[in-house]
Amino acid sequence: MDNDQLNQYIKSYGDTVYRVAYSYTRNRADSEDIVQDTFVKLLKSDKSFESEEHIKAWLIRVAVNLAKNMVGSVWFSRKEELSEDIPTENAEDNGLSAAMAELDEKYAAVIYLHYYEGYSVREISRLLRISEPNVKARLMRGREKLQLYLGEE
Amino acid sequence: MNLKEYYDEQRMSVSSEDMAARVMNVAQEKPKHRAVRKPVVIAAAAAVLLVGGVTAAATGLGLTTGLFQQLFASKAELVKIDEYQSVIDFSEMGKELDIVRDYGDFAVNIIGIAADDLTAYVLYEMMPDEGFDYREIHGIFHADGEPVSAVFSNGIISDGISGETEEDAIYCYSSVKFIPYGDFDTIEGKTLTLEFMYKDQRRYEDMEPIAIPIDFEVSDDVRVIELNEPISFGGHEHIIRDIVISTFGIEYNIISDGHYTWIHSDKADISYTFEGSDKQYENNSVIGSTYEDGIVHVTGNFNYPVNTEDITSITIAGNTFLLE
Repeated sequence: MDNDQLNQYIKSYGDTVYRVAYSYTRNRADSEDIVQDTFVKLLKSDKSFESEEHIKAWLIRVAVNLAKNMVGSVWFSRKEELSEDIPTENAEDNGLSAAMAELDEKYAAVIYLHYYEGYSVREISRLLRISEPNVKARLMRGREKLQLYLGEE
Repeated sequence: MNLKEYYDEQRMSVSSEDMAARVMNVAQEKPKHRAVRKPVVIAAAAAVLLVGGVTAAATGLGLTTGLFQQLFASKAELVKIDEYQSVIDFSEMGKELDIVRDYGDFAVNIIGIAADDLTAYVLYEMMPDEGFDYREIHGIFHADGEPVSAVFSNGIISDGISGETEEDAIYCYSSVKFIPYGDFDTIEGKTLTLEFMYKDQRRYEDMEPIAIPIDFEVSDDVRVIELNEPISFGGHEHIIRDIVISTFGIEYNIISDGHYTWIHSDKADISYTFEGSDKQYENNSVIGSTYEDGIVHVTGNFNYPVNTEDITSITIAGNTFLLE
């Protein structure tokens, strides 16, 4: 893969990978590190992809794994105690940024993949390697929690 | 602001060109030694779920020695689950978890755990890769290194309630019962590990165990009912000393006259009545007995957490005991 091709993939999917990573890390710098590591894996991979959708799904899967590894590390939890990204408030925000920051990562990821990326429950099940009923449960509980957080604003 | 606008605003702070340059630089660095497993894909027959006992599996785990002399006469219940519905709200009791371990052939997601002093209730699901046959693997729970329960063997859910979904995922409520020994009188503060291994065990080292710390408050609801009453079992008269009920389990103790050292008991041998509850509580799959100092201890687990004060009577092998 040459630089132009890599650049094209990052242009197409970089923000998607970033948002997936951000669902877990809630931190800009860490999310960008995960974007970087995800595309390094793509660069080094000899996997043959059947379609653009296949590449995108693969990138998301890799990003999720990297993000979960990072969030689960002792280093990350210690660092989080010292600093975290504080969501900025603005008049047009309606408290959504703060509510999303409160939302547990496991709900944030499925909400992003379903409502923004348009993945079906079955597709999310395959991406996150959790069962379809579990995806549905997370969507339902994520929605409820968001409603609760927003209602408290 | 709506969700779309919220996500639209989330973008990398660097341009795609700058990110590409970063990626190229990192890719050209010397590789770091990071443990990344390559998924192994095995083409095998479609998953077949069977129902059966695990006495043989328990024996193979060395559970029949010393104080782990627990004889499992367990059966698994396999039900079709259309919608994920936890019988325990882990945000209220125990701890919600989201531990996903991807083993390549299958992934395991630990969803939640709750416990009383001696019984842990673990909800997890297993997701197969396409075509993977669960009979390839074997799963065991350990508590601080000691094997305490065979959870999965030969495609059989060994303990607890289980269900399969349309995509061949399996939900398991595994009830993990501990036999106290030495200073080990509670599971609070201990760490459970769930270990899977391939049947041929050649890839054992690939299967990193999943650690599940019991670092939450366990239920302390325990009710002891002193009885010292006669009880008929298998055509013989015995004395039942007491019944101990906790949130997740029951133990009843039979005074042994030395002629028997264990009692075979099936979950159908015990039933309960509850006050003010329309739930059908029953014994879960694990019923076993141990013998110590002239007493046969028979243990079982509930299929739901119970409030012990709600139990009004217990029937054991046709003998009904009214509880005050």
